[in-house]
Amino acid sequence: MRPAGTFDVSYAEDMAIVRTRLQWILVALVVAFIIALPNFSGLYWLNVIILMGITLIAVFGLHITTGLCGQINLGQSAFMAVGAYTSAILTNALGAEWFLVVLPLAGINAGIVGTIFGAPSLKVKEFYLAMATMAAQFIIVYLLIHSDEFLGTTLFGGPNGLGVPPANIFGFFEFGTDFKMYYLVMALVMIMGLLALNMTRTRVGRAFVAIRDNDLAAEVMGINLFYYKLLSFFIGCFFAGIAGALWAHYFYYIQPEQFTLHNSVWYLGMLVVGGMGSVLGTVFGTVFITLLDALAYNVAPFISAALPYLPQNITYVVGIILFAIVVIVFLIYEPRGLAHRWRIFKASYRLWPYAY
Amino acid sequence: MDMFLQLLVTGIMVGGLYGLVALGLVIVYKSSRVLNLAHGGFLMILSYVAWQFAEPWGLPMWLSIVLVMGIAVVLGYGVERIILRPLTGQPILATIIVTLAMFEALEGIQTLGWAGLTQGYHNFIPSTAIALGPVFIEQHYLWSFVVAIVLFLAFLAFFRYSRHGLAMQIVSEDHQVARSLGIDVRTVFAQTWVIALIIAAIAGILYGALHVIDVENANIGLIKALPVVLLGGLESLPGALVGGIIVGIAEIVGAGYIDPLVGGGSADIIPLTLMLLILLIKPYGLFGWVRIERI
Amino acid sequence: MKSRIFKIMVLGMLALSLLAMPLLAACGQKDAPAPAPTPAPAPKPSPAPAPKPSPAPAPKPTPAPAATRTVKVGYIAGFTGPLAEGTKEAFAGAKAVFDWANETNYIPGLKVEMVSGDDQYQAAKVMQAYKQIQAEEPIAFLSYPAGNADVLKEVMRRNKTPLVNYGGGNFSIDPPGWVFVTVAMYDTQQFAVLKWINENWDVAREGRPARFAHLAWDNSMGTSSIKPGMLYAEQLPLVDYVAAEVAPSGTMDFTPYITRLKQKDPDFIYMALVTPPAISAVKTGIAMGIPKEKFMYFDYVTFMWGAMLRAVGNEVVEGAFVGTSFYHYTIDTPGMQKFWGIWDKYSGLQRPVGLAALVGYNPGLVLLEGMKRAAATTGADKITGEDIYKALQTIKDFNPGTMVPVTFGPDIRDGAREMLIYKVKDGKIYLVGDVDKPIDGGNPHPSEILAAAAAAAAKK
Repeated sequence: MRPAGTFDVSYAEDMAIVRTRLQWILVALVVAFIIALPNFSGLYWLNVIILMGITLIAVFGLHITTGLCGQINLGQSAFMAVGAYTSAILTNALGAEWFLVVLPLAGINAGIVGTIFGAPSLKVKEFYLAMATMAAQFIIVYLLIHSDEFLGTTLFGGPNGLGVPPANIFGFFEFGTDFKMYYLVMALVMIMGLLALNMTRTRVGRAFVAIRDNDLAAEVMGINLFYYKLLSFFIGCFFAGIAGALWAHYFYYIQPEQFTLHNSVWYLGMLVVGGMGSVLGTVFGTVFITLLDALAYNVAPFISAALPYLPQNITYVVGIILFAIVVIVFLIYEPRGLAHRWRIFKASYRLWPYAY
Repeated sequence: MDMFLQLLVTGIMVGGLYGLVALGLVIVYKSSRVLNLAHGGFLMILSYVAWQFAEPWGLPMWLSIVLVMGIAVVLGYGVERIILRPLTGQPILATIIVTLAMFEALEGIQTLGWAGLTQGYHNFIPSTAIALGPVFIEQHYLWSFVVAIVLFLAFLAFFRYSRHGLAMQIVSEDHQVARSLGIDVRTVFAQTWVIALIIAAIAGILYGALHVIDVENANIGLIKALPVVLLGGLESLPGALVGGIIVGIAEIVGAGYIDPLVGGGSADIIPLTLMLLILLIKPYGLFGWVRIERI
Repeated sequence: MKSRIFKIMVLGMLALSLLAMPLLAACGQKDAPAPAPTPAPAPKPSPAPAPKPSPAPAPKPTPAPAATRTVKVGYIAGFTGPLAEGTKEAFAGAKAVFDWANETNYIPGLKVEMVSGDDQYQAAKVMQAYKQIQAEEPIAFLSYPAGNADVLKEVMRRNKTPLVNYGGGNFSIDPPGWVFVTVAMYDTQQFAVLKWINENWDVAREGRPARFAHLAWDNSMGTSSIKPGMLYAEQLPLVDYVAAEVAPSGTMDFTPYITRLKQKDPDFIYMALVTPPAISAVKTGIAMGIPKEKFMYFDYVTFMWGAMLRAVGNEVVEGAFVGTSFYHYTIDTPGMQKFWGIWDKYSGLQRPVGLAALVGYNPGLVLLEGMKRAAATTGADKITGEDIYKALQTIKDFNPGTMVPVTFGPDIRDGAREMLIYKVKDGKIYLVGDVDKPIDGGNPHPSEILAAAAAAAAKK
């Protein structure tokens, strides 16, 4: 809903993402905050935020596959692994300075693999599809460990893992520290976020939503299910691939065991907490869950100290159980997620002091 | 040939246990259309509870099993009432994510209660094997297979002949029809959860005795039981047993003969690959119901 | 339309800022690594409420040199999560070393403080734990699960801080970097065992070479030693490497693998880095008629031994071979006596049952030696991570008395080349042979074996 007195007088205004002056100010403030952040965050929080950004890109992908198109994907973390390995192998072979060329390739490769594992979505949905993508999670990790044996190469590093050079722009600039990496990740988060945001408003995005709401009805309306379902997997996994590539170049080391089902579940949880089908909600959910986990990490030691009769230090337990409780509570009491709360807040803010 | 026989027999035995785990999934899915992805988590946690009774507290094994079943009843009822019932009518995605979140929480609870430590039941089932010619059958395998078969027959009879069982069958067909027949659908949901968790407890104890009690046991509910229910069909009780035995044989025999060719480690992948193939070829399994959708 | 001008302004700002990011990044931090430009109070939770023993420095004031500098050593381990139990002891072991060193003024003019980070036994959190304590600028690191060495190798190199890890995957030492591994690598362990079998196999009685089989796990710890081991066995006349089975690290049903192993009728079944499923493998093996004495548990006593005994009971491991580079508690050497003295005084914990205490103590001792050497060359007041890195490379035949001698070098990052082989008898662990003379000495480095094999192949 719009604030009173805001009218569109041109197509450009009708299509605008940012409409009012307040929104512009907010955008400017957020951008300024993001730029200034690493100067006062400290190394630990910088690390948390970089990982949050990488996660956010993967969850944007999940937002498109699952949130918009309704095709559940339990293997996002494995598709990240595909992107990470593509980027790692190509930069190792070509040289780190080709990073900007390799990055889209990593996304595309992950997208292709995602499309292959999303193929069952043509015949099945819901649980069946969840199982197929979960199988992808395990099969991809297995293949990454054993590719070298099948191909007789040493490209993949097998179970030993693979060293990765830092990201580099054509030899001019190296993202060698967290400080620099932060800006790379944030720039990509903005670009991918804009892509995801605009996706909703395109023909493709509307087709996705139609498929999510009722795929049979969508097909009757002339939407090519075959094409659009696979496209949703391709785009979603493209995002995962980009996130994976950043992950690889941030850690300088990748190994199949870093990409677990556990991560995929957390990504889905972030999507749910934020609210399916909303980019802003995706951001909210990811930030919320990441901060919750960081909170658990930082607060649990004090809980442990205060309650010494607990069997052990409980950081791990607090994080994982808080996550589960939050996801369950949201699904029961606010299935539309934080995004819906935000909409309610916005509406009441605009209508204030009236009720409606 | 000896090797093949050995692998085949072991595969059948393992398959019986997989079928038992899958049975818990099928019973819940049949009535309430919830695929309980946390089933493996419950299995794992209940096996730890049984261990807690039997080993540190020194209760006899039969008493521990009875107590664990009591806990399973309470747990099943509570989970259905508190978590699943409010989700009735929500999209399927919600139940998938809720059960996955429960799975995570159960792993956390295990770490809280038992610190992630591996444990084992002592003096429960003798660990010697029975030799049938060239084939060795571990008594654990034999016991779990026999228990699985007995439970299967018991539950089949329960669903075929008992009043409650028939009510569950009707609920699985159609909630509206069930209501008009005077069946309280919500009670049936709770009953199925209770039964499923009792099965999880039995399967967990058998699996723990067969191997070890470990957090990793939870994965059996995902990477082994899901291929089984998919192969047998999500709605079919006999399908769970048949699917379990097929998957068990495929895994054990497959690992025996494929591993030398691919450099090992394929045992965990075979069931999942099988599952992907089924999804592409015959998505509703051998005995599942093909759903015809209407707008 | 003034709103339009406003909009253009903000858009311009946005675009500019996107462009400016790399530039900002470039000038923001010229000398990259260690201390971020953060005067802000870094969050400082120490997730491990480590036992706090150190009763403030020595009772009698030591005639210390005028200024005493305090440096920090980071400890990254899974303080919570599945490995918590062992980590607690390991950390206590490492901390006891430095508390002892501080109190006895072991390195004149240098005090060491430990800071800990919790990785929750998850690869992604290792880096998080590292960043958390990096803010306190430690000059060296210790870490517990072997896998951490691989994850941290590259950041250690970039930030010029050495890491002394208990164990490590092949990636962590090849090519040599800033990671130093104290315990023998998995392939070195296997060489030691193969050589020991070759020397001790009673060929006159058996009339044939010993048949050696390897049951490995499908991860970096398991599979990396198979190929070098096979090549090495070819050079040994009395050992036949008959089988190597690779099982998925999560599997529980070992029937296929045990069935195939059994067909080869091995005399020794070697298992290294055993995760809980190993217990299941042993149970299956014994049930299928393989004598339990044939199983060899390697690098196992260090931290999984307790789990093993808990889950299967003592009788299953009776008569089996066990190996590690560390001394077992039953061994009585001056080094072990010193360890017990330090442990009892500084750890604040009960005497341990598994070897996890040594898992922390030994790397701590090695790092302390490196720091002492660095302080001797550059002076305690200006010692840096790089000095310790160089000093660690000079360590040669350093014998802590609690493990086999440690040797590093410009190209050598795996310190231990020897194994101690124990046998379980009456529920206790006994060393096979003499303590003073480790059973096996001077095993070849994996790369030498591979090079020799390649040369032999080329000759053919």
